[in-house]
Amino acid sequence: MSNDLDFEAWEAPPPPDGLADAVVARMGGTAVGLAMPDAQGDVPRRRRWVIAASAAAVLVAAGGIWAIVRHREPAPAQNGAVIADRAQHLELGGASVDLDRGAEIHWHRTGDGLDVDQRAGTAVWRVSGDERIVIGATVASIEAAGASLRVEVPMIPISKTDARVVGASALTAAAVAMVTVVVYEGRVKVSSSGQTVVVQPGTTYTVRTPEPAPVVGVAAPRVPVDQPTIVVLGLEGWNGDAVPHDLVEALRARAKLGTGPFVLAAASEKELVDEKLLHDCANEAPACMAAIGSDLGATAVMYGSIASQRAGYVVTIKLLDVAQKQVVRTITELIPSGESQGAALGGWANRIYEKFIGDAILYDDAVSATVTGSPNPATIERMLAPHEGELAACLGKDVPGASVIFTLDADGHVSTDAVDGDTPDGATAKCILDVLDTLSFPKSGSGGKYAHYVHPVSCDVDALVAEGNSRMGTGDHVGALAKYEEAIACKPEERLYDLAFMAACNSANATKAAQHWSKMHSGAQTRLLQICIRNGITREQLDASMCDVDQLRNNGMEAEQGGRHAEALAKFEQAIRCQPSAQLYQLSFMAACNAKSVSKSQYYWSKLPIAHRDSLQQICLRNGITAETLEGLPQPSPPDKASGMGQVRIDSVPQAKIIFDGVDSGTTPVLIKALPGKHKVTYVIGQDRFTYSVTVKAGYTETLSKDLQ
Amino acid sequence: MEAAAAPRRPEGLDELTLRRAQRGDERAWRDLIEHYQRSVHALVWRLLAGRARHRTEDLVQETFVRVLRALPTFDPAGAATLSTWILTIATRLVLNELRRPEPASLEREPLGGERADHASERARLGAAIASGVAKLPEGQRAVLVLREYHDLDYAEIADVLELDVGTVKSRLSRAREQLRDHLIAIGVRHEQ
Repeated sequence: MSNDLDFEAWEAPPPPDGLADAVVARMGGTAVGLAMPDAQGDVPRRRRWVIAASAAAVLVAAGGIWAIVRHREPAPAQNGAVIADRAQHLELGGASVDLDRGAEIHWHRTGDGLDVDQRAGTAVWRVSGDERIVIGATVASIEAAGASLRVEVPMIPISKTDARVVGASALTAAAVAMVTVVVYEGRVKVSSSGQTVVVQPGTTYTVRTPEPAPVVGVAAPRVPVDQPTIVVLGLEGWNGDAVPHDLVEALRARAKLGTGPFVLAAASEKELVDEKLLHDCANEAPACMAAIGSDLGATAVMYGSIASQRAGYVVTIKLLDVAQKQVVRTITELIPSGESQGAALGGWANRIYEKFIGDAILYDDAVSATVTGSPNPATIERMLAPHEGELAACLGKDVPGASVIFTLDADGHVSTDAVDGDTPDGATAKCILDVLDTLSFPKSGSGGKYAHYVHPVSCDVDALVAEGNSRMGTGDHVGALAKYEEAIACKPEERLYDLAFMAACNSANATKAAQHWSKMHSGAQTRLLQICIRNGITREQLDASMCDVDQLRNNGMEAEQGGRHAEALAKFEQAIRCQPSAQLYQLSFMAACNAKSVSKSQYYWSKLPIAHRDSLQQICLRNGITAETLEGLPQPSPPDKASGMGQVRIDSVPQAKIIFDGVDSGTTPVLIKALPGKHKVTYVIGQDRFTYSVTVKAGYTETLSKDLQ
Repeated sequence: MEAAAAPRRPEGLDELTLRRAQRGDERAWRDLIEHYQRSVHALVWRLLAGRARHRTEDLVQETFVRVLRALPTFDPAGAATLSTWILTIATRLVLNELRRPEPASLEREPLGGERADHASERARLGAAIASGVAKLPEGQRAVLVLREYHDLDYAEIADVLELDVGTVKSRLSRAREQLRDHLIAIGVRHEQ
């Protein structure tokens, strides 16, 4: 009977829309177009799926979609944005917020909690104990859990006098960004400019910016150059496709031309996702991004994200002024698929770059021009950079450096009585003032007050080591240790830690020995351990220091930034052995990928929170470690170069049927062998068809991955 | 409601997605659900023929929730394919549902009522099959639907329903016979 009866005549209807959303929501995942389960599943009732767009009048952008299901309250959107046109209350899962009129917030939920960008206005937040919320508020990052607090983000026009009162010196701006945090209950952490403060209940904490001009008190600057520098970070969202990589390379190539206000910083070959990890940036808060830029010796940072969509690539790029800790411009462009290769992509890179510098008035060479208001601190720094040596010479030999605050008048002259700060004596101040007097600062409307850090005269490592060795020779181990440590302070080199360790062991100083032991390579540790043992210091005492997790992590980060990935991985792993944490696993994953260690990458991949995998996977992908490898799956057979064939890996969200050069080739993901040259790929999803071209090279695997949702 | 193409056994989920889904990757979960939802929905909908069809969506959801919860224990190298394993969960859920007494107040869904176009011969046949399947005992109904609509072989059906293969064969034979008699009785099919 089954052979002659048309069973297909009894057709089943298709499943309802939003099934996956509903199930994932029940599993505790991200709900988009949410359909909640029936709590009384055994009580039959008529129900229907109702998915509605948010009726919230002011919900803007960011894909915030509310769902109204079975007469329940709307579920909190996983991401979205609101500009409150009136006082408004929002429930965002484990947190709720009352917005004053005019307040603007953007939020998205991550695996770690809720990330919020509070761009303006006043908001009162209530955060439950099992929720973690990070609020980026222009100049500060606020982290709260189990707390209630008010965050105010006004833009306050201030006068010159007011600016002095609030401690701001950059009078070029007509406004000073300020964030006020009032904590009602719970503990709240506020981070700004690399400083973190725990704000106790019942207290108010205010963060203001800009800071008084350039960085004061940091170690030797990496790039005291005449021209401002820009670092172009690799875009986030890279999935193995060539386009994001090529676009960043083209942007860097454009910056390398040096025409325009910037030159490309020496340390520009960095990736946004890596740098965020290394700087423990939970998001791209300007303060954190500025710290990255500062460490890379850049005046400006270009960074952003890229997403593959059906029409092409959506690229969002920001330009951050490192000194001001502010994003000065954001550009979002759609690069059509047809223009995502070769010269066309290069043209896009040039246009994007020039859009930025065309408006980058902060960096215009205004040195000889009369400017309105006050000269920009960056301009002043550029003028001082070539005179660093003269300024340093003003400091005495034992002066570790000094911050100098000086005032310019409207004519660009340094006020004769205005040098102050931490200079040790009048003679030094006069010397510095004499140097400043030789410079022609720009005329301006109002002049201004500036701070500058004068770095000390450079130290001589070899001389210090020689003196240390000499003291060792006379049995003055304590004196030798002091000299070696001076040398380390001057320039931390591996051999110096070995010497310092030796001197510390011989002077029976277990604390110092352990301190230097933690910085030594394992080979040196093995070789030199006996020195301590014969002086009564045990391995256990030394290893105790190895569990300084912060120190180990910092050492690892330093090694990673220096391109010493294997060493970085070893440090992170050491730290994990002491006290494992999600951050250490992420750092280890990054170092393992960059060190091209497949087994370690796989191991740390398995330790990554699911929510972070999509963003971190690109680190391994760009190092040739594929998604299959990370999952421990067999590798697809490589294309046979000798045969002249190449491969295309085709993927999509959602899954699609693939027609390759007119031939039905299965559903995504698929790996197709093809002859070199251009091929046509059509994604078929229901009635929709999306066609792209891909160029295959002999012996290579191209990737074509599309988000067609 | 738009009629769906006949949901046969879908192709297997790719291994990478399965591995990620087993590790709790939300995107992989969605891929898995979207990959199998037509098949599971059709199975549940057909097994509920003549019964509380409004339960279809709940049971489909419940199937996938149970699938995702149990997914880490699923062995891709084991005897059952992922597709069969998912259909097993769905079938058992529906059979449990069918064993519940229906509230008297609840109206039954019209059989084949989804297609009002009775002028169409095929639609008539569809409605007739639906009414015939609805009359089958639940055990026979499950065997028939799994065999005719989801291409499971005898051994797989035996695993799904925890029966001997011989029992599957006899139930399938009786189900087909009963369905044939029903179709003849209502004039959709003639005796041969």
